[in-house]
Amino acid sequence: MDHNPNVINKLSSHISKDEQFPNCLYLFGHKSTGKSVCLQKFLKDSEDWLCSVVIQAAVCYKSQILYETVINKFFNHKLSRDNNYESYAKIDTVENFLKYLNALDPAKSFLIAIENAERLRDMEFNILPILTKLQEFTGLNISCVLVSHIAFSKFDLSPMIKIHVPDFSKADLIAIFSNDYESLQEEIIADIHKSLFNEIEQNQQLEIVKSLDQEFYKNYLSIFLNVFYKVTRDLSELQLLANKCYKSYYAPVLRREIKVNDVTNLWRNITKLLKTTLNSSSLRIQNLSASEFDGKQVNEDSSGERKKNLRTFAQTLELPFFAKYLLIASFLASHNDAKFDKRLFMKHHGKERKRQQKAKVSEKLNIQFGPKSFTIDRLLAIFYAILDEKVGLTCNLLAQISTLVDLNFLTFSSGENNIMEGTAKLQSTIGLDFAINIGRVVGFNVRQYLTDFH
Amino acid sequence: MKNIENIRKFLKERLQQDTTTLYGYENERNQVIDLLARAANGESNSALLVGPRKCGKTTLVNSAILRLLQRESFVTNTSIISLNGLVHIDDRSALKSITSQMNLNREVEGKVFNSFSENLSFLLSCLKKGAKNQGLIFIIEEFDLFCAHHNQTLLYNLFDVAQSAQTPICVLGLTQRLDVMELLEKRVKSRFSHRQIFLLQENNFNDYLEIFKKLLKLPKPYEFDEWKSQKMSLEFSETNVTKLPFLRRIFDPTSFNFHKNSITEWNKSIKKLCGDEKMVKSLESFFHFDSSIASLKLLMFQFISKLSICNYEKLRSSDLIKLIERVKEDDKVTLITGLSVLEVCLLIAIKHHCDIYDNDPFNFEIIFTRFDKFSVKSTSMQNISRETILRCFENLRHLELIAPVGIEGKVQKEYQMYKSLIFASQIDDAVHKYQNLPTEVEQWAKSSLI
Repeated sequence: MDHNPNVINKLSSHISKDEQFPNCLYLFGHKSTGKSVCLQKFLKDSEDWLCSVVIQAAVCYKSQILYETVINKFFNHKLSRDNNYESYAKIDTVENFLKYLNALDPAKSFLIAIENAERLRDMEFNILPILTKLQEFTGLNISCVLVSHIAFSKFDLSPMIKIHVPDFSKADLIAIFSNDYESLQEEIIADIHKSLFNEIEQNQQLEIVKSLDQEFYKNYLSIFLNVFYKVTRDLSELQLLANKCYKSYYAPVLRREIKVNDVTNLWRNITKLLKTTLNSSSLRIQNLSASEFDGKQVNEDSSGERKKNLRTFAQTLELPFFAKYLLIASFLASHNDAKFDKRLFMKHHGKERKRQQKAKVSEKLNIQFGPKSFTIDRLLAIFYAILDEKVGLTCNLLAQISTLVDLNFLTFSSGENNIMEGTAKLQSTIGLDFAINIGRVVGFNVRQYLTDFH
Repeated sequence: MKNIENIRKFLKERLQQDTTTLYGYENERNQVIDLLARAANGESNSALLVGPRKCGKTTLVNSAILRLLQRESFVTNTSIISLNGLVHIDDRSALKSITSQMNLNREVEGKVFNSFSENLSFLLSCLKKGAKNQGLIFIIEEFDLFCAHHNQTLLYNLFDVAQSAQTPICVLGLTQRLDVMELLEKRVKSRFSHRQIFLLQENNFNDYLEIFKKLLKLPKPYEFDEWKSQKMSLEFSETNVTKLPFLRRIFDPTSFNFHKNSITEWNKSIKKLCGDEKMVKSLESFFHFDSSIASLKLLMFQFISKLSICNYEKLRSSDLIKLIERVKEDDKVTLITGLSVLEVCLLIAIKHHCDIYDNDPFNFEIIFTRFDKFSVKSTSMQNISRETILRCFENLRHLELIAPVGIEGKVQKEYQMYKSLIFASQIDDAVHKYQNLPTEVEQWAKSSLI
């Protein structure tokens, strides 16, 4: 099911036995839509009459590797201990490459498939044009399939036959994921055996597991996809997340809190978790720790708590009081123009000159264009202006600036070695939300001191 | 059934392998033939063949050479050397190739040359010694790439020989660059004959349709006989020129055998097919889209490939119409319709930004703010975290729908400036084609007011 029969049909109608091949084919589609799977299936089916080689362009950091892999495969030369892992011949130029291709048996048919073909653009200028014209150069019945995820117009090549691999619809995805059903079912049973020692309880749960049929899993999938499909269509990512969240879906059924066919309640139970998963993990696979998905522990309380924790990362940040003020001061220094400092931070800044009321045409905000750099003098001046208490300029205080640099809240933009001269310039790296939250902890309104919000 | 397969094989092979049949460009071809024939008579010359990519430059030269190969005087008096800028990336490799194409490897062995010209003149003198007054023809493909070689030594020497009439030599360069003369150095330019032959596409739909028909029809029996006689005359000359790459895989229709009845039957069905007005109209629209013969052949290759799939006995006009529709589709639009709703939303935000600020560059923050304003009001796109959106934004970059401006890595990635690589119309098109797009998103795409 993972492979699209339509695409394979198209491939085989263009590249068929005993017939002349097209010069080149372009197979394109989004990632994880099964481009390579289709290609591999096709190549496997036509193994006995087609001599083919699949090359990962990402592996070929120099062109020699590409040439030699092709020639090794076509001459049936396998790297082994006997030949000291040396390739069939040393080929480092296109000329040589073509010479060896010309030595091939013209009665056979050949195919070179290149994955991540867009990377070939960064190699020598002549590789792509030659690969697309191999027939012209060699006189063989040879073709090249370029597999890529970008539009063809991004290559500067003459037109060729394009085959688009469409992405999976929701129904396709459900059908593909359903292949996992059996293995998931086994996993559940193994889990029960592991975690429950009470035999009666075990048997009861095993009984329930039997009632979790395909339909049940499909229902879950459609609920899952309703949340995730609008954000990503990456099959591998979705599959991983779907399998992980499934535990929390069936857990209440095992605990006999919700009946198997009570779809509404099941939906109500899972939907919150799905939403937090969507955001907390931000779909980055490494962020998902197993404990977070431990189905039994996830209930409404903990998921809500996690969400809260996420929002208040700033509030739990362990920093000294003054360091927090320094952090806010650096944020203000980075996102305000120095000419407004006087007006923002001095109590008696005189009467504001009546500026011509500009119509608010511009939606552009300073904070949208990233931090500007500032000197340490300015940072300290703002720091003293926003702090109510009086503190001495001690080395303790200055050391906290370097702590912030170490923590990557501040970075040097220039003059890292000239701190004593005062020419060193710093930048704040924190975002607005984070700054506002820090401000909340120490009781300081950050927005009030940003010219953007005046 | 076997018959259909045979026909399919024949048609495909003719489309792919027949690199010597030229359509149009009669005058230009005669000019080239004339030029090459004079080289056989001991006259030196140089010329450039300039025309857009895939317009048939190589085919023209091939067909000219094929015509000349049938003349005995030409075959005995000339040898042809073909160079390609893509293969011979520097003058040294080119010279090596020239040596081996002239069968002079043995003579050169062990010799040390001080300069390039010395080497070349030695090669030429070797040739003189070979008794006959042999003319040399240099076919240089991707001529513009040779201009980038160090000092343009090869070109300089070739043109120098051609101009000083030491040895009869004809240099024919093929290029797609119209400004190729600007690439030549002054000393090279002054030695060039300034004969340029331009291949301009002739836009005539009737001719185009004739070619289409001709490429679909099977040749009549008497044509097969003609080929046979032509083949005989070629075999005679094979001693000299087998090195030429295009001759290595010359199209050989004599290897096919069709029954007389099947030929007439097939040709009848093609005639019927071409009578379909709808199809002709569709083909005409394709002609206005791209009138080169190469892309017609590409289209027909795909069309003929359809013959097998469902065991059709005949080609169907509806298939061709569908095919033309698909070829005309915009890849970028196709790719956008495969994106997730969130990614489409970001593209719409980008579109509005470019619209309002006249294609100013943007960064993630700007697009995020714009999207956020929409998502707060919307029902379906709420509660998506910033990180998730940033990831989708990066995906757009990965697909090369947007590209970074300026030096990368100097600022945090949220503030990196980007420019859009797609037009507003492409986004509109994709939104129109997108299936199951929430209505509110569709409305937002139409107007930036929320």
